[in-house]
Amino acid sequence: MIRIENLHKRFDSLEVLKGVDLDIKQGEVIAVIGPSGTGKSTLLRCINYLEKPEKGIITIGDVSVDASKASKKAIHDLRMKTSMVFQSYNLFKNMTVLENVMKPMMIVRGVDRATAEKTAKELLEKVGLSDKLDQYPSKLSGGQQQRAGIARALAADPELMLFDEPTAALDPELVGEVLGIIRDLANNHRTMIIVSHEMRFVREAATRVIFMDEGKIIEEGTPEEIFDHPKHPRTIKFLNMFE
Amino acid sequence: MFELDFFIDLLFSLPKFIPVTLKLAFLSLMLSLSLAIVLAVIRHYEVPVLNTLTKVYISFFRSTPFISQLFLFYFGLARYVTFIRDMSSTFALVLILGLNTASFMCETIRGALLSVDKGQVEAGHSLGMTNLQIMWHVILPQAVKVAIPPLSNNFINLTKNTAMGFTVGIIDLMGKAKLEAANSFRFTESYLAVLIVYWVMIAAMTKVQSIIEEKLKNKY
Repeated sequence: MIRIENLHKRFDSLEVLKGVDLDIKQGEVIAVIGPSGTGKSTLLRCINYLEKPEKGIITIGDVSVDASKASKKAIHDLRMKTSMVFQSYNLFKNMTVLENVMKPMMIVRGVDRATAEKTAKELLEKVGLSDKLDQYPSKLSGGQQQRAGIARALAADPELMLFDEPTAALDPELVGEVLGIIRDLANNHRTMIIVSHEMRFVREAATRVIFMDEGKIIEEGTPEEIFDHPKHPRTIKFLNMFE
Repeated sequence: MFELDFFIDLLFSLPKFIPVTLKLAFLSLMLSLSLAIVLAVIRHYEVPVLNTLTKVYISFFRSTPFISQLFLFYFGLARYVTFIRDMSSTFALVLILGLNTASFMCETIRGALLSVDKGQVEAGHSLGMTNLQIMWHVILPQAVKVAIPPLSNNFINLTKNTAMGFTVGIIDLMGKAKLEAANSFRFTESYLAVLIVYWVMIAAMTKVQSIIEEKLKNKY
């Protein structure tokens, strides 16, 4: 059970999130869509406290963090429940693909080397990178880097995965390989929130679509409801741009 | 006239003192490097209070001549503080040279820490790594690679600064040359010989530096 209550975030005078509420059931695949600058990425980044919200309560399983009194420990516990896939991949440049996946397991959760290596190799096989284990990120294509990023996020065994525009920085011909992997995860009922502008993918993979505008959730529903029968004028206007 | 025999004799006897100079340089390097890493991390995370103290420290040591710092400490403060008075001149030189060089190295290392993009730090946080774990496993290994060329320059400056040791009575390369010059009045021969020895020694160190850089370049 994941619950976000009344989440507020501002950058100086700019109020980015104006009270976001969201309940997520296990296995749901939530897609967040909306115009640029409406707080979609900020929402994701607040969920694991890469940005500290001013107000609001985030609950994931048995961990609950109230922004007004968030302790370091609570934030750490929350981060252990989530993992993030970044638009710019953010692989550790001093580590090989294999190390990128196994080292965090060893460092954060104290997994022994043999187990970490075994798990990492399995995950990297799943994302089709078995032949790149000993390569450094600088030698990989964007698509390969992002697939490694997904394997690294999976290795944390999170209750909730966050995808922050995972294909936005990719060349068009590399988008498919990354979306394919995210779709597999969705089909296996991994709980996730995806911020994406790939509308066709969102329609296919999401169980629920959330339309955000100006720091608020304007409308939400199944992909059919949002894409075929949008109700709110702003949703209609936004989706018309993709026709 | 230029006494060639004297010059050549000295040129071959001076290298015996290279180990003294290298020992001074190496000890100062160890001190300055460890201190500089700590100071750079303090600056990087802007640790309250310590950050301000570090700024003052860096400003002082960068903005005043090394020889004045050494003299204030060794001749000035020694009058009031017993343990400085009892300190060997080698220890005093290593200490002040270490403190001095740390102020330069700190800024070098701080720049290198900044060169690691914030995205990797965020990735570390998102995976539950602490600041210290991110520093140790992600930032420092990458920063070292960036920092090695400028740090080598700091080290070369440090090595040349050990020549100030003669002012507090250390018989290193420079100290020996000064003695020879004073005893024989052959200033040209003595100082030319010592300069050549320094030149060859530092040139060799520069060579080692470029080999290390080449090795690091190919890794990632």
